[in-house]
Amino acid sequence: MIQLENIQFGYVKSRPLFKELSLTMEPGHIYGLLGKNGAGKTTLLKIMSGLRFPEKGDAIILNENACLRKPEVLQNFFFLQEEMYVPHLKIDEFEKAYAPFYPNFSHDQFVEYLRELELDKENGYMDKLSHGQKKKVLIAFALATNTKVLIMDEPTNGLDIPSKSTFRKLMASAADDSRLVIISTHQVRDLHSLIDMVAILDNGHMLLNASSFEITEKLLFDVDNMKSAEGKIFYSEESPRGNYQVKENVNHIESTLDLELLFNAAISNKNEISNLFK
Amino acid sequence: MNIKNIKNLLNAYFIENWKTDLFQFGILAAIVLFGIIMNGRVNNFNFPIFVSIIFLIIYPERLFRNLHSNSPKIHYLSIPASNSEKVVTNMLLANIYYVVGLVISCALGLVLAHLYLKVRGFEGVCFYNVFDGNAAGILMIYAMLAVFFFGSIYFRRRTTLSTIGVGMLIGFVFSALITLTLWVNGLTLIPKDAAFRDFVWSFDSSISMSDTMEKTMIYVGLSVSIIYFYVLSFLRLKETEA
Repeated sequence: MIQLENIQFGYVKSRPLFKELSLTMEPGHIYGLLGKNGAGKTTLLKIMSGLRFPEKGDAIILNENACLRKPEVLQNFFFLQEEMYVPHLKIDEFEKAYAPFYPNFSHDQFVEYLRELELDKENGYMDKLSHGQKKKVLIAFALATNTKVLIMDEPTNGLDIPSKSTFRKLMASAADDSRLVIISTHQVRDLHSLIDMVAILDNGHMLLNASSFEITEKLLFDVDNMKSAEGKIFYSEESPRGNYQVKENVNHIESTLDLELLFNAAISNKNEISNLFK
Repeated sequence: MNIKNIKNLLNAYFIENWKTDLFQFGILAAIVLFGIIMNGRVNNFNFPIFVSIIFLIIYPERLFRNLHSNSPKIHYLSIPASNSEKVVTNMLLANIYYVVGLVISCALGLVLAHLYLKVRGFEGVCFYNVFDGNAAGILMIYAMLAVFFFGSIYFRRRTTLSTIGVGMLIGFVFSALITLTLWVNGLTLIPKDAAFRDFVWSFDSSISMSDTMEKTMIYVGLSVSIIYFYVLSFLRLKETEA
């Protein structure tokens, strides 16, 4: 559904952000795109969306070149940016203005999502709402468009605690086999239960692109060697609850994926983690 | 090109902008009304056209304001319509909708001024002066609009001022080149009379053109430049990144 082939891109020619970056993303998954500040997550999302043009390589979305920004593609694609733009419109005016562009938009779903996020259409002008409320309106709209590809950049930034759990619930209900959802985030604890594919971007390359099943099959997330004392330790972290570890899962023991530990393990053992998932 | 997408773009525009547009048309009518009243009689006065042209050249900056900062730009470029549909929609808005709106606003201002002056015992307003533009003049206004349309896509901020600035710079460089070329060849530009538009070459032109030929050349030249700037606008939008 999204295919990036040998992408090369940089804001400064002498310092490319991506070098020969390749990535394939399939429908039916919720991808978590992780990376350090400045790793290029937002830029990568923009390249997928046809908002930035790679210097070399191809960005293919829904079998079309993303750079062409074809209406048939844009109708089936929604990009929820981190710094949102909301026009000076009421929620129902916004719906009237922009819903007609999306053939699969559902008014009933939009109303339902707004209700779940504790917003209603009488909330006044969107640009006068708080940051979190603006985000909620756009999340509800994005989900109601029922596009095949949904890209969200830091969607939980600015959401209060109850809204984060509502967001997870809505996302889980909106995900289906025909839909590809990509979430770029630093707030991995908000979304770890939601994400079933993890992509880690580092230094212009994809360090890791694997399913949560594959990750827990190869890596063991343990506390104080309770599950196993075997396997090479890639990362450990002291905490009041014990010593959290990420190690090689030599005995194929089941464990729960911890995205934050995984990320730290991957960043501190780039080559080993990368080779493990090749 | 899909008509439905153009319809949707127009629909979104009107939902977002109808209040601002109505306000601007009201402002124009008020300016025309007070301008004429303050000036008394207006028998040979093109004040309404002058103000309308200012409104018209500023309009593309508003039309493409979403391209002038990052988040609105992402929003605009992600709207499911092709670049050509977006350019055509804005062309329709700038060349038809807004022009009609300006004409109606001017007419409203004039009618009100006419009534006011009549009541105060003056002769009233001569309407014919406002709408007596010739075809070349109208085409010139549309050509100017096309230039500002392109400028509002090309530049990132203060697009109207930037377009005027670059236009003046190009005009200056062009005039300087002509003057320099003539000077090198021992020729000068001598005004035929005091009117600036009647500058003529100091040498006799061996080419003489009929009036029809001259007019045709002006019409063709302006039409080509209008098309040229809209094509450039489309290409620029296609290349725009966020």
